[in-house]
Amino acid sequence: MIHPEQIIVRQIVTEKATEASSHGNQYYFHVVPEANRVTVKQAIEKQFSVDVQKVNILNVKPKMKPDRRQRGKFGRKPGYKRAIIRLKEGQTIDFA
Amino acid sequence: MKLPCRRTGEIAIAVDRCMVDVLSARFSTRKNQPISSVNVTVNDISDTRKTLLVTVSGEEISTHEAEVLKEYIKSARVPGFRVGKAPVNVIRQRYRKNLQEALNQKVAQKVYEEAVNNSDLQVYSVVEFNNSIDYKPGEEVTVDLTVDVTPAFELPDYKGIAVTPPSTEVEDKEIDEAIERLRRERADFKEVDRAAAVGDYVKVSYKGTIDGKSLAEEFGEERAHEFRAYASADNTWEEVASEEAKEFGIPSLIDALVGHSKGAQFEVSHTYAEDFRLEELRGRTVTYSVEVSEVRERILPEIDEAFLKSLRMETLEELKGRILDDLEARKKQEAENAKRQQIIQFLSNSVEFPLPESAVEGETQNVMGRIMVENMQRGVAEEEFEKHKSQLHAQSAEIAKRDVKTQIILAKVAKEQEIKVEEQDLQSAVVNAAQRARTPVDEFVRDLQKDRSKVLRLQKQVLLGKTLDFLVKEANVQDGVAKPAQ
Repeated sequence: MIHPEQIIVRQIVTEKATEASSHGNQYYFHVVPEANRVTVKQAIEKQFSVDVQKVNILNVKPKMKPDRRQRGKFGRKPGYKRAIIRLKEGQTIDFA
Repeated sequence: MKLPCRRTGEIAIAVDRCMVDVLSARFSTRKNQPISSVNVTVNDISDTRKTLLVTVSGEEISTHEAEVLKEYIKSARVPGFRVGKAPVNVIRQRYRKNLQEALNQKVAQKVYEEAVNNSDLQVYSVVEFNNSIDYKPGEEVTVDLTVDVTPAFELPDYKGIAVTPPSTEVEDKEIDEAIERLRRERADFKEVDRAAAVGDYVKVSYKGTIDGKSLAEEFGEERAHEFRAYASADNTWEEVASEEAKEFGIPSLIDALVGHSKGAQFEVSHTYAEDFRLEELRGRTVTYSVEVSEVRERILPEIDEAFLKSLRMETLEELKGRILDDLEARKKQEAENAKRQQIIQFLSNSVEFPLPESAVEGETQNVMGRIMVENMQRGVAEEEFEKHKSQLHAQSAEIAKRDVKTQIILAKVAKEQEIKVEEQDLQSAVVNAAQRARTPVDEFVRDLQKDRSKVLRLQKQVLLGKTLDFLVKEANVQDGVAKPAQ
């Protein structure tokens, strides 16, 4: 059993995530591979003292990226599990 | 993409919530901003020194902060965002330190500008300015700064200042003297077997004693080098009874050489004057035992073809013409300098006002530095400066006061006459300064670009020079060739 505090790896701060938070009240998180909707919801509610309305989870696929150190070779960018949570209306998480 | 903002209900176009907050905050502060949200209170310390209390309102600081943020948003590179798309709070967190620094600088600049422009004072220089304050948006801050002001004074009538430069006419006598000097420089020295006469060169050895003790014994070995020329010499050349030689040598000895021929030995005493350069010798009598080992007569060359050829001249008339030109050019330059000096003298004598302390202090340091460099080049030891430090400082302060006063007066004239430094003036000044400093122009310009204060100083010099030129042009020259005032 993973402790709720270990579920969330970090908050994802990108243009897309910022957009979603301002217009859809949705927040993006990088979570551990073992996490599921229930554990993510518990973790978020505990950590940020907010009410989570909905949790979407998806696995970001690993990517092949050109290796900058070795010409013509490819490196692997690891994948991760992403959780997108929607908060109850009027609530926010400060993501900076 | 148009979506209503969940929190405020406003429609924002692809702009995040925080951005909207900041922008609306900025516009609202602009709208409600009083005409001047910076207040300046002046307290007098002295006639020329004032303390300014500058109060900057919270809104003013917020406005500046928003401007600083906008600049950062435009160019910040944050992972996960395209350039210019990162939200305000991310930028704030990421660049907290830089933003604070930029805000401090911006507000400090504003404070400075307000203090200089809005206090009805002619600020000469800012003496003290505490710029280590961290300004916070929305919080009112009072900054105190000490400034030196240019005193208010009435300019005298500076058009048509009467100047009497020395005459630039060259007399025949001066030309003859110049030729005579050239002959003396090219003179031959022939050994003669007779008693030395005035103007001859004599090879002498001498040794000085005070009450039978040598000068080294009297004053100690460690100071012997200072007295070397007055203690003893072996086979040194002296010009008999020459005024020039007496200035640097031992006057009685130089006079006493008259009438002595080769191989003569004699004693002579010299009592040093009360104002002699070396303190220990003042009023002391030194007895010198002198031995003459050679007498040479100065034979001036005839003004003939060979002499003219050595000067690369064809005829005597050509030489005279050349000397005339040289003397005339020199006299003209002297007259020009005299005019400038007289104008400066007139201006500084005709007005009295207290001088800004910081300017005098700064200029004193400059003058002192200059004097020290000049003296060091002449070979004066550093210990000498230490000994006469207070005297040197007083002397420099005197010069500095005069210079600062002149500068202030000329600056006011320049302002009144709208004399400005043009690009080409500055260019030629840069070229001249580079030549004086014996550095290539490119290198000099690179140096200037690094240090803005140097450019400002140069600009000031050019401005003062131009103003002085203007005054010279307007001056009433009193030797009958007065130029019409324009």
